[in-house]
Amino acid sequence: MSFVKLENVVKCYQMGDVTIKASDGIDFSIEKGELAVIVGPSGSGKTTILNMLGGMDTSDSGKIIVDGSDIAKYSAKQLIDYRRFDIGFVFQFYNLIPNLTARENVEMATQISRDSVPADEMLRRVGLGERLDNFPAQLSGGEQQRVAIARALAKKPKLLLCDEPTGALDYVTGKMILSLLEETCRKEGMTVVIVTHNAAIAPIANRVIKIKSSKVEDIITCEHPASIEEIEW
Amino acid sequence: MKKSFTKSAVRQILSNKSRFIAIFAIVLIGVGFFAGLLAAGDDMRLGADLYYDDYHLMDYRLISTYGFSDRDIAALSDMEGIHVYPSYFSDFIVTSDGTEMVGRAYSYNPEYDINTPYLVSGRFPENENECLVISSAFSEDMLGKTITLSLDEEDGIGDILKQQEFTVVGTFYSPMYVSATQYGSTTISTGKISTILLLPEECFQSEYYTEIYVRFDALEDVSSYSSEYDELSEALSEEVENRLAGRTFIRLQEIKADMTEQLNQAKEELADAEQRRDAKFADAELQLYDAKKQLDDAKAKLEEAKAEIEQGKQDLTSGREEFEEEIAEAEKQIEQAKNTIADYEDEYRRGMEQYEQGASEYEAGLSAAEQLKSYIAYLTGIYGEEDSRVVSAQEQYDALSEELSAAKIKLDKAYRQLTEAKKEIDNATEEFNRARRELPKRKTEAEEQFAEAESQLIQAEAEYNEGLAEYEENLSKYNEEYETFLTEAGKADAEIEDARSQIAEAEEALNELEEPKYYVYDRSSNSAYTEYGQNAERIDNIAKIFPAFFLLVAMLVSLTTMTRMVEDDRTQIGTIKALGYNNAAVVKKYMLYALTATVSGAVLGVLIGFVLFPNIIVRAYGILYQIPYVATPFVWSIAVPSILVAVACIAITVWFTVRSYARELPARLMRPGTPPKGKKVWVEKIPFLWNALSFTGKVSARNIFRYKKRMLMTSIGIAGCTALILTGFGVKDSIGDIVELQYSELWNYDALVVLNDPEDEQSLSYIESTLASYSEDSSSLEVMQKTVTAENDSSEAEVNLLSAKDVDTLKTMLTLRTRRGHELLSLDDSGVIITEKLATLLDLSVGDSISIQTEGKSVALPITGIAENYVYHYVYMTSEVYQKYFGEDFSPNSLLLRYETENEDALVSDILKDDNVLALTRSAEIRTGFADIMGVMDAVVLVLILSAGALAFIVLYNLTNINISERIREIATLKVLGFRSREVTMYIFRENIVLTLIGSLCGLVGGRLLTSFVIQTAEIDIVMFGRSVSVWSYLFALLLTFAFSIIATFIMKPKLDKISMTESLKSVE
Repeated sequence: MSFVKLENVVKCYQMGDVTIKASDGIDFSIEKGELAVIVGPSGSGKTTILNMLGGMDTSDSGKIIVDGSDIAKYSAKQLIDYRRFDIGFVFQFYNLIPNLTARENVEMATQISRDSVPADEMLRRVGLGERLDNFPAQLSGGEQQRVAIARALAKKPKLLLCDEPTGALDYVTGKMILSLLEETCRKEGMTVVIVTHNAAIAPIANRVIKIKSSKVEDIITCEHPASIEEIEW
Repeated sequence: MKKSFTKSAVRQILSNKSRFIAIFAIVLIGVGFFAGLLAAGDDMRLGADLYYDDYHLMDYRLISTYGFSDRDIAALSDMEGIHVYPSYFSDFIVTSDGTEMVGRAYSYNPEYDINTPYLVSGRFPENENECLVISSAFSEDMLGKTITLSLDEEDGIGDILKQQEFTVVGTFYSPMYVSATQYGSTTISTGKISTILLLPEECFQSEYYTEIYVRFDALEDVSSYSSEYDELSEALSEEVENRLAGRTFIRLQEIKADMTEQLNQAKEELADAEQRRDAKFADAELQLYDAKKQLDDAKAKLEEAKAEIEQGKQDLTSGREEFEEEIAEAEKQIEQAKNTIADYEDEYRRGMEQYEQGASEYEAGLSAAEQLKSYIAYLTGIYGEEDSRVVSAQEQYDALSEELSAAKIKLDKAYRQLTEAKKEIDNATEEFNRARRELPKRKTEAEEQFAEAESQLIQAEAEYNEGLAEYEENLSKYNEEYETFLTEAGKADAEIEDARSQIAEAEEALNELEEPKYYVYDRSSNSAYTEYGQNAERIDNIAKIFPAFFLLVAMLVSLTTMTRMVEDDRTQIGTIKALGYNNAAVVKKYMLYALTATVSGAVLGVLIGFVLFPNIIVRAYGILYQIPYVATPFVWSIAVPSILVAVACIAITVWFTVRSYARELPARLMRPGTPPKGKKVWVEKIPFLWNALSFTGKVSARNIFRYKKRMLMTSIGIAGCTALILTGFGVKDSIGDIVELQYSELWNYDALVVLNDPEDEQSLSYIESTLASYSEDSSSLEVMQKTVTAENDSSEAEVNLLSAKDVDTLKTMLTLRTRRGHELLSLDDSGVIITEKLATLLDLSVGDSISIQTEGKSVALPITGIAENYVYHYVYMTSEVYQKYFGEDFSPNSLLLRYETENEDALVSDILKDDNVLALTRSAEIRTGFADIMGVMDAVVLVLILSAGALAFIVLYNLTNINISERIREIATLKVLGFRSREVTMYIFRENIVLTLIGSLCGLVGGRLLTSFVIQTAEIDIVMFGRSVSVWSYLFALLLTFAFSIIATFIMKPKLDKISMTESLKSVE
């Protein structure tokens, strides 16, 4: 059975008088250790999928099975634990706590998890061993994102969810982040899901799930994805 | 303004409801409090003024040394807009249901529009026997009951009132007596008036009016307690005084004329009385004289009779004695006669025998002679005649013959004698026999006579006794009559003497009669009226301080709110500017937003404030003051400035906040603002402190110091609220303290007795023994108390001078100590101890001299101590000091008593029974009275605390709200990271708690200062409020602030929970 499996997931938003179907029967699955990219244009419903997968939002119907459990049936409390212990999240705008140092930002996650990688070690792994005591404002965007990734990984999640991880970064830095994510996936067998509107990133994935108008348009699996250096945008 | 712009502004309000509400609410409370408290003082005065106007409280009360006549009234009545009403009043002892109290009765004339009673229950009197009683002293139960008025002295009431008994038909409030507890003092009985009565005017019997009430239309047109009133009142008062001054001479003449007439009449009456008395007593005297004479006659007769009887008795006795003597004599004589007869018979027999012997001897002689003759013859014959022998014989014979003839004569004689004797004896025997026969007869006769005499005597005695009884009866009757006569005469004399001395006195008085003095008392002499005004001023004072504080906090809140809003909107501002709107338009937009909130909040605040606060305060004072009107009008003169002040404050705040943004270049604005940089805070430099903090603690510490402005604002806001709450409690403490401190800790005596004659040993020992009989542990102390004036260059104060000889006992009656440190002060002969507030008022300290004015002289006394004291001012000194500095003898006039009894009422009434006791004041009573007043302050304080609480809540709510809205992304991120609801909440509120702690601790300091300030402002001169704030108040202020903080947290929690995690995905705006 797949590590992540969505079956006929439907999510509607009520916007005044209008009901918007953000997810209209989404079906896909991701295997453990895969690097998956969910790609689609703005407003296609990919973020909704990310939210549901990340336990930040609930579905109206369907199954969302992660590591054998249907999180669609989770209560709010269970979802918190799910986010706390099973999910690592990387935001487009890093979402670091501005008045915590890099180390502290990571510690913030490790503080609440059961089994974690020490913050210093984690930061060294993402190449920020020298900048432990720097505040986010003293770090570049790429560095900040690396802190964010360190924060997400430090708690040894089952699933690393990344929302436009390169969205706020320049090309070079973006690539560096992508390679960090890829590396994490390859070396540590971490299941990584990247949500992006940038189709150029798709080739690096084991599995590309194309979303369009709230539906899965296409799923492409790739045994040998392209290397980061090969892609361009 | 462009239409779309307006729309944007309106939408802004709708989309930023919580901020709008924050500003709205803070302005509402601030302005409501400001306007409400400002209005409260005015409303107190207004309600009173309306009442005074409707019920025509007099503007002046005129008193004269000789009362008033109609002509006095006439002299005033042509002043413009004047209303003059004469009145009578007098003080009585009022008895109802067996309880006595001292009351002042005023005349009531339903036609007079002055000091009109406000009927609370029942109806107005309809005839002379009905009266009204003041409702504060009597309940409605009194209706229909009878009260009796009397005076201390037995008589005299008839001169004042037609009758003594009245039926209570109604209870009333009087504008003259707005105090519900204080009615002033009098000279009768206990000296404290405890009820007011209205009696129909016709019940009063007095030649002159005792007072005149005056009111002016012009004064009714201006508000009582206003400076206009005071100024106009002073001016009119002068005019009235001038007019009355013109009356003095004429009035004196009138009175003199009246008095002379009366005097003459009295004299005439006296003369008449004297004449009548003389006539009456002359008659009486004459009758009495006659009666006396008769009595004396009767007495003389009786005495005569008595003497006669005595004589008779004596006579009888002596007669009987004599008779018995006589009988005895007679018997003796008879016996004697018997013996004599026997003797005579013996003698006779012996004579007979002698005679017979003589006769026989004679015979013998004769025969011898014959023989001789014969012998002679013989012899002659013998011898012749011449013989010697014959011659001798012859001679012998001759001799013998002679002898014989002599014997013969003798014998004859004896014989005759014997015959005679025999005859006599026979006679005697006959006599004796007769006597013997007569004696018993005589005896019987005498007995009969005696018996008769005796019975006569008994009768006479009985008659005498009867006569005596009659006489005695008459005598006692006479004596009685005489006594009566004497008394009557004495009385009549005394009356006449009295009348005479009265006339003399009156004459003297007439001669010494001075021009009358007229006194014009304006309303300020009515202490309840004045006190009420002072209370309103006290509210004014509080209104000046607190609302300013509220406005400050309101500004603070709007500052943070608007800052946040502008920061939130920076992109929008940039866009608008990029579209070509100018700075003013940007400012206008936010101004519009803030001012809409401010104006609506202010207007609503004014509307609520005008009703809420004055009502609470006026009604609280309603416990102490009987003013039936509550006026809470909308006061434009307060409302408009209040709103304008709020608007100005907020506008300035908004201007300063928005201006810097408005001036920025659009491009810069459209880029996200640089968030405050994270950096190390100073706490981190203190390793032991920093290391002690948990991770989350470190985060909070950093957060707190990151947003310095917000931290400052929150801290100041919270500090302000804590300060206000503490001030509320502090004021309550300080006021509440007074009673407890003054009457339990400082004044240990239980009662103060004012004595008429302090040297009355009997009275003193009576009080001593009465005390001892009620309380085992009791004591008393003679003190001298008088009211003097203490002054310095700029101010003066009325001061109670208290001097005692026995300093040791004084120590048990009064605790003289410093307020700080409670060091006991010792009173010695080197100087005086003064009380603290007095020292403050006159700016005096130990070592200075206090200048005292009394009876025209000025005395400077060295101060050796300043004692803790809260009510009135005192200067304590030893009797030595008094004598030394005042140059007068120490003459105590009061007693301080200390006792412990459960039956204080009985003790007090026993002590009051002593005529020498003029007044007795119980500490417990004063204490209760004060406690009542302080109870009112409690209500005001409660308003303060609740308002401060509301403010605290809004500040915390708003600041928490801002704190959250500023950090939505952060919170959303935390949630995405899997923070639990509680952890998220704590993440935010830990900061609040720390800020609350810092703020409230600062607030305690500020509150302490504010309390001192408020207390000094609200304090009146004769009272010093407590200066200490209890630990509990600090604790309560702290806890309340925390409670509000926690409540705000709980209200905010759902909002935190509602923050969507998708916020974390949004870009930084």
